[in-house]
Amino acid sequence: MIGKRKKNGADERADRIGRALFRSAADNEPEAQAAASSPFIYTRILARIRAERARREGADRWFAVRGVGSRAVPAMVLIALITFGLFWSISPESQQFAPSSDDVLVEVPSGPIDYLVFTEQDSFSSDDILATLLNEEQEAAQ
Amino acid sequence: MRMMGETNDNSKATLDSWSEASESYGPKGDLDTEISDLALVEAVRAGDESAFEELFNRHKLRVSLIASRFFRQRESIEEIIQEVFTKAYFALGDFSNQQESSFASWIARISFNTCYDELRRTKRRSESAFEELSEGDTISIGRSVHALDAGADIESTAISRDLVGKLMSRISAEDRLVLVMLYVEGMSVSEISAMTKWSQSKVKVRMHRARASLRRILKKYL
Repeated sequence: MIGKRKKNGADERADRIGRALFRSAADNEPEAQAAASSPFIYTRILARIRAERARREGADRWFAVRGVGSRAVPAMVLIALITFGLFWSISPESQQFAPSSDDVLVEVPSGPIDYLVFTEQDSFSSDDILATLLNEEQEAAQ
Repeated sequence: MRMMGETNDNSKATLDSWSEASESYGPKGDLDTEISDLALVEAVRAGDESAFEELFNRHKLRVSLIASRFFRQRESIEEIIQEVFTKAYFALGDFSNQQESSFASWIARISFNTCYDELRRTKRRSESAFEELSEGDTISIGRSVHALDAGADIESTAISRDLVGKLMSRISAEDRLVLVMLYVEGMSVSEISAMTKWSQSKVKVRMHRARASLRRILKKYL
């Protein structure tokens, strides 16, 4: 109990002294007056405002570019994927050809499609054509 | 270096009494000034820079006094003034939109917040949290504290303001903010709450901690 009273008393003394010291430390009116009356202070404020305005406009532009980029890049990636998919789907490696009795694949091209040639089994061979021509010539000679 | 004994009591001005001197009252009195401040704000928002200069001239001393509670050097006070008015310029929209009651109290709030931010920045920048005290400084402070304890007034102790400033720099930025508002500006809990946008319970907790912090520092000399 006595100890508590002593402590409170010490606290009150410290509070009183602290208040006096704090007020005296904060009493700085001459410097405040001098600072407020400083020449060109308003000019410096205007310069700061202009610099801040320029900084904000630059930041706005950067954010706008980032905003466009954040939308454009995914769209471009999607288009690229679709294009790649289309090319892959029509490329020869992706197509499977089953030979039929009527259509025989003569040549499986590794190049463009227009090299692909289909022929029929019962079509005339070049030897048949040559034999026919020779027969016709012999009959004509006779 | 200015000594405490040289302080002129008549030149001391609390924020309130000084504010009466600094504001230019129109023929209609307070109401005219308040309307004028609002009209100036709207003019600035419409692009009139001269209106902003008028606002600056009306309130620069208020801002400067607040800054001088926290900073001793004139350059630091000037820096705070520039920072406050720059922030105020870009926040004029908030002032209009929120329909603040008084431009003066609004800019005072910006001033306190700016001082607080700068105190925190200063503490982070320096390696030690407080300015070092030499042995001579410690003895001088001890003598002054004992004299104050014995009932002497601060002017008679002849302790230098710089030395007291060194002692006060040991207090954290939050504690200094609260103690300036409480001890120097004489603000109540509700006024501090309105100024800082803290809840009243938070203000009370901060006040309690700030006082305890100051006591801890001073008890070394008692």
